[in-house]
Amino acid sequence: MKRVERLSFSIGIVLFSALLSFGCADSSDNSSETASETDVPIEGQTETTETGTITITANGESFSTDAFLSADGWLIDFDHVLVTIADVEAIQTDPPWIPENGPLDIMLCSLKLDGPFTLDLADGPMEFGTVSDAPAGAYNVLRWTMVPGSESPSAGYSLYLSGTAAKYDQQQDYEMIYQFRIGFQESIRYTGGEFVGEVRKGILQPGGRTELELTFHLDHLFGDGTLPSDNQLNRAAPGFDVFAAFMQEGVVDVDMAFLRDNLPEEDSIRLEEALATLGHVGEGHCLHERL
Amino acid sequence: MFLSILFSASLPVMGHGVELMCVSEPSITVYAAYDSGEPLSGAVVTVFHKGVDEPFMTGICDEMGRYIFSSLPGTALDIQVMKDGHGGWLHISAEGIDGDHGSITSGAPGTPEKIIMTVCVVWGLIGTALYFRSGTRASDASA
Repeated sequence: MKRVERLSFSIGIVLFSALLSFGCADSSDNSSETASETDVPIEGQTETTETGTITITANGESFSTDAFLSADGWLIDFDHVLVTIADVEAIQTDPPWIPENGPLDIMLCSLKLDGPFTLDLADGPMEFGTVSDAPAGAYNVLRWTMVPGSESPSAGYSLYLSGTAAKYDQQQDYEMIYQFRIGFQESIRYTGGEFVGEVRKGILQPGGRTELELTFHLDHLFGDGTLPSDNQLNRAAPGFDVFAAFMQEGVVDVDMAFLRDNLPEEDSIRLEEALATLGHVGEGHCLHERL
Repeated sequence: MFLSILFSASLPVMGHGVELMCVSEPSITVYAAYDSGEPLSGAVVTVFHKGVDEPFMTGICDEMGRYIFSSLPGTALDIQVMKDGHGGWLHISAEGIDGDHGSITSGAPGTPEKIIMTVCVVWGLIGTALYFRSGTRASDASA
C-alpha cells in the first residue's frame, strides 16, 4: 500500500512541476509577482538569456525518516511528517541577504512556485519542483509559506505528525508506547538566506544545474537526546512530554488549537516558538512571519 | 548577527617625491565566538570565490576561534562557518569587507546565546608602508 501511495505521490509531483510559474521580475515591492506575468529586465541589471535548471527539494533530515531519541527520553518514530507549503520563491540578491538584516526588500530576480504542495518528509528528501530555464546567477534567498493542507489526514494542518513514541518508565518497570497524531494549523512564512551545509547550493551557472533546499528541523520541536540536556537546542525544545500528557487509551491525538487552550502558557509559547523556527535552509535559520 | 571591520586599508607611501606602492595579498582573519566570548573552536570554515560553488579553501577555527588565510586583493569572497549544526555566511566584496553582511547564529529557538563572527582584513601593504615610512624618516633624520 505504501508503495502505491508513493507512486501516486510521485505522479502528483510531476503534475505539480508542470504548473510552475517562474522568471525574473522586479520584486522590490516584495509583492512576489510571477515572472510569467511581469517578465521585464531589471534596471541596472544586464538582461541575460543564459539559463540553467533549478530543482527544489524538501528535507526533514534523519529525524523525519529514522527513529530518534527526544530530549526528554522518548524514542520517536514517524509514520508521516506531512507539511504543506506554498508560494515557494527562489530569489537572487546582491549584496547577499541574511535573516538578521530584517525583511527582504530588494531582489534582483525571483522565481515562484505557487503550490500548494503537500509533502511527506517521512519518505526522505524529495524533489517537488523543477525550473528548467531559470536565469543563471546566485539564488541566495529561499522563501516559502507553510499553509494548512486540504486533504486527509493533514486537512487543516500545515504540519501533521503521526507515529509512535516509546519510553521506559523505570519506576513502574514498564515501557509506554503511544500512538500520536499531532496537527498544527499555523501559517508561517519562512525566508532564509543562502543554504548552509557541506555542499554549496544555489549557484546556477549557464547551462548548469543547482538545487535549493527547504529544510525542516524537527529536533526543534522534540529536542535531541544524543545531545546534553543543557544544550541550547534541548533547553528550548518542548520535547514529547507536553504531548504525552494528553494521552488517552494509548493515543495522543491533539492539535495546536487544543494545546494552546490546555497547555501551561509557558509550554504553549515554547511550542509556538519551536514551530516558528522549524524552517531552515540547510543549517541556516530563517526569518519567520506568522500569517 | 554581527560583522565588524577591525582593520582594512590600502595606503600609498610618499617620500622625497617618489611614490612608493606595494600591493600585497591581505591576511584575512575570521573570528567566531559565542556572544559570551567563548571561542567557537573547531568550527569549519569554507571559503568560496563569489559565485563559485567549489571552495578554494577550507579549514578549522583554532582554540581561539580564529581562522587565518590569504587572498588576493580585490577578490570577492563568500565565507561559511559551521559548527554543531548551526552556521552562517560572511561576505567580502571586491572593494573590501561588506560590513553590512555576514553572520553566524544559533538556529535554536529562544537561545540565550548567539554566535558572533568577525572578519579582520590586514593588507600586507600596511607592513610594507610602515617599513618604507620608517626608512624615509631615517633618511630625513640623517639628512
